[in-house]
Amino acid sequence: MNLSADWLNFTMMLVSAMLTLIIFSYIFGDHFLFHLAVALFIGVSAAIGCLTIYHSVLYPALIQPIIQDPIRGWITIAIPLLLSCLLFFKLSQRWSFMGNPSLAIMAGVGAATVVGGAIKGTLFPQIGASITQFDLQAMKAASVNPIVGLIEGGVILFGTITTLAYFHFGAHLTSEGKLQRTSWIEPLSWIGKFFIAVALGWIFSGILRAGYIAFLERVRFMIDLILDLLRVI
Amino acid sequence: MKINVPFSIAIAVLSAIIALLGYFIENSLLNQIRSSLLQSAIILAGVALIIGVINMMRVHWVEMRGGKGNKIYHLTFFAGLILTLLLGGWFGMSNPNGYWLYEAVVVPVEASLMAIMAIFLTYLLTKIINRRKDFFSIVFLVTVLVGLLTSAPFLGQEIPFIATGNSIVKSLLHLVSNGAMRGILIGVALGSIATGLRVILGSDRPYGG
Repeated sequence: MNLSADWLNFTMMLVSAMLTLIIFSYIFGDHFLFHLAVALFIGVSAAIGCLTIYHSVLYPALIQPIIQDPIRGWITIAIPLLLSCLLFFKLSQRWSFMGNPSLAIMAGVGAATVVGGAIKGTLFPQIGASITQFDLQAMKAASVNPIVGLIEGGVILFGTITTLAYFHFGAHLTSEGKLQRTSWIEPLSWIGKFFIAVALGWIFSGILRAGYIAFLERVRFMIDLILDLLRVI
Repeated sequence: MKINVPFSIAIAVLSAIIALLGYFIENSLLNQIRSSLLQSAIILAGVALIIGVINMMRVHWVEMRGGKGNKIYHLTFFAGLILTLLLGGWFGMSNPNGYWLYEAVVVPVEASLMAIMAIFLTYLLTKIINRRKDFFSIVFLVTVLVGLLTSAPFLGQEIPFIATGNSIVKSLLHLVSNGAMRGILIGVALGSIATGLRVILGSDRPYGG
């Protein structure tokens, strides 16, 4: 069963245009229609989230095994199903504690994944990348001037060290009873602040660019819709 | 001696240690246990999302019946949720009819919010000059402006040393921001490890054990 494609497209474009105008009107201040659009957005997003989780996680993991092989399927899903059922107790204030074991597994596995991911996925590769920047053979293979390569590597390494120094908050008490950072950390931290200001400015300009592109896309969509409607009339 | 270890803490610590060992020790049995633990955690996260939505529905329902807030907002929320669930459930997510509300509501609202965010951020950028007149604010502001100028020609004109392809200014900014970003990434990783270890060792108990 399919709804008419033209009708669907037309309705979709009209709803899109109305919502775009409502959201844009927030520039002039908060109003009733904006809240209405946000309420609709939250409702639809929540439902989309549920549907996506059902189709991509719950159906293949909990329902498909039973359909394929009922006996083995039930054995396979018994523990996850039991833990999932226990999680529903979290909806009740009185029985909330029954869901703690399920949350404990999520927290434990999540923490392990975060630690493992941070070590293997971020820490080692970033340290490795800092080292390879001084690899003269790699520079030769990539036809990079070794002096330029070493300067680039040096600036990046210096930026990394000073940025880390900025986030070093260890301090000692002075004779006057004030907290003070170690003397050699202060200048490094100041330079690190400069590096961070540049990096955040660069990221900020990237976000602005993405925002402007989204703005232009929306304006273009509205113009196209008005032209299409004028053509039809 | 009476050993009193709460059940949830024991489960969290045990599952975390098994999952963590699986990352660093190559063993088929350990890998199998780790992958089933991971699979269970993924299923539980999915169920948790659905429970979160049910709870949100409950809060809206209670507020609506108690006359708290505007009734039309709650009704609009329910209308969007139920209609999307019905369409997605009936047609399936692979059918265009099933997710047309996503394209009609979520995509334009997200894009429009992003667009007005850019406008508000630009406005706030001008406020920086008035609010904080220090060296680092100027560095930040100049980087933002140069970052914007490097991405596209200014009023149809390419500014020398800035907007032309792989310009000097662009390369310098890349270099400096790469250094800082690497430092920030390493810092975030170290922070994540510390936070994760607190959960693994049972000193942080987000599960209420």
